Amino acid sequence: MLIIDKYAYTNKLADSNPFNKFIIVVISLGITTIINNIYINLMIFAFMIFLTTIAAGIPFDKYIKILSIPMSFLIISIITILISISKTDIFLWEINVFDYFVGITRVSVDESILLLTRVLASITSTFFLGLTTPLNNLIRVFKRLHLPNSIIELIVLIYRFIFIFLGEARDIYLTQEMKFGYTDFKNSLKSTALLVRSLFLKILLDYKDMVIVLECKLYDGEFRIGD
Amino acid sequence: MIKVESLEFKYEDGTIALKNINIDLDKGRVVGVIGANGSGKSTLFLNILAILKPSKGVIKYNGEPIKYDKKSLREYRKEVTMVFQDPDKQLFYSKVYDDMAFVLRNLHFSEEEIEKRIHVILEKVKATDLEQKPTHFLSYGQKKRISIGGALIMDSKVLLLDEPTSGLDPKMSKEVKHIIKELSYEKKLVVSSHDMDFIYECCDYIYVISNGRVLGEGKPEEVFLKANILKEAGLDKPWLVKIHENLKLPLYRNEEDLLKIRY
Ligand SMILES: Nc1ncnc2c1ncn2[C@@H]1O[C@H](COP(=O)(O)OP(=O)(O)OP(=O)(O)O)[C@@H](O)[C@H]1O
Ligand SMILES: [Mg+2]
Repeated sequence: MLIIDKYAYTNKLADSNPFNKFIIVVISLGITTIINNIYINLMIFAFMIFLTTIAAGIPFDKYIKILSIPMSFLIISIITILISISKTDIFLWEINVFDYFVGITRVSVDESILLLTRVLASITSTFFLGLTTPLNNLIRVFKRLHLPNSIIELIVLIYRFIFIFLGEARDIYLTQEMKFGYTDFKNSLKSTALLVRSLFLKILLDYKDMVIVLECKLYDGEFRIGD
Repeated sequence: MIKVESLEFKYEDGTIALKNINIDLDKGRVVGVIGANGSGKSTLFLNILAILKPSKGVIKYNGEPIKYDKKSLREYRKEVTMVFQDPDKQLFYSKVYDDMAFVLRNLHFSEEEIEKRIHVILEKVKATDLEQKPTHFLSYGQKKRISIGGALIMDSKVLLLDEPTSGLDPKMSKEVKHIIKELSYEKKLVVSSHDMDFIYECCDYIYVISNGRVLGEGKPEEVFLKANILKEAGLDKPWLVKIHENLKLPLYRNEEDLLKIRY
């Protein structure tokens, strides 16, 4: 069970109109990309946190935990943008390495802050949509936007397979662990290889079963959601 | 209704899973198919559903051999459908409501009609409280109930149930028994199981399968008294038959009859 999915179904806004949520998110994404204003970005950031944690009722500590995954990437990228190297001293703060300066400049600080706030606003916006909207409602939005059926079909199937995949992987891993498959390094390598192999085979079998079920349910190539 | 005539089925790897099977589903309202693990029950069901195509022999529906082109299959599967052994594989959508609606939407039912039907069916399988739940939150027994509901909703004429009670606790088993009893007034049911007590109480005609062959057939009170057939098939007797033979009690068809008379 994916925690993101759990909240998507159980939060207080799960049944609210997905189109409204989608439009709010698109507008805020538009604003952060077009208008280069730190304060507006921060306002969107705060607003989205408010919507996700207070309006939708997703526990704050869990929310921070989920956010921390993209955040770690964000921080690493910001650091690389922040630091620049030059022969002349144009820095606010720098260290000397032979005849080069390594440090941060006024421009890089401004740029980084703008980028940071923009990314924060965008991430919290998309997370708001993802965390508060069940997949079925999202598909309703995609249908309204006239996304091609084959893309919607892909989304539904990929989503379904994420669960099959995680479930199978967990079962195999637990069995292996119970049989002392991960006690030392050599052992672990072997077990991991075996896990990947059996996972692959199982998924193929699951796929076959799924096709049978779809046939029994008279699937004709289009996932209908009903509006 | 459905007749299986000298059917043989061979898997791609050469396993002959079914040999010379003759089955007539008109012989009972609830037909039981019993056999040990690997005897070929699921393979037989998939053949009857026309998912697998027999290597030899025919399956007739209303006197006509099944046709295997796309259009005829679609028509056929409106009339004949199945509840699979593993409910996880049968549930497709993430919300109970949408999962049940799936087949109806494929048949272009109106949303009002769909809603009406779903409510009736959920009532029938005692799962009204699950309507808005995501399917991956459900317990095994709840999933089983929803997958039965998902098959019922089509209103088919024939329903195959592969191991409807496996993995269920006694209370859930009893409920499934009850559901089957009610359904038997509306449509033809075919049930496979290795739960002999369940089969004995639910079915009115039984086929015993072993190693892909039909070993014996008949009414439950007859079949379960034939010790040699059950032994060869690797099956046990229902407890009601055991107490009949060992305690010299009359042969009761179900627990309630026994209790009514004894106390
Ligand atoms: N895809 C397959 N390829 C090859 N052989 C198969 C395949 N599926 C099943 N078999 C074989 O066919 C035989 C019948 O299997 P089947 O699944 O029909 O048994 P079953 O009676 O349903 O058993 P269970 O009670 O365990 O569900 C078994 O010997 C099995 O190994
Ligand atoms: Mg089986």
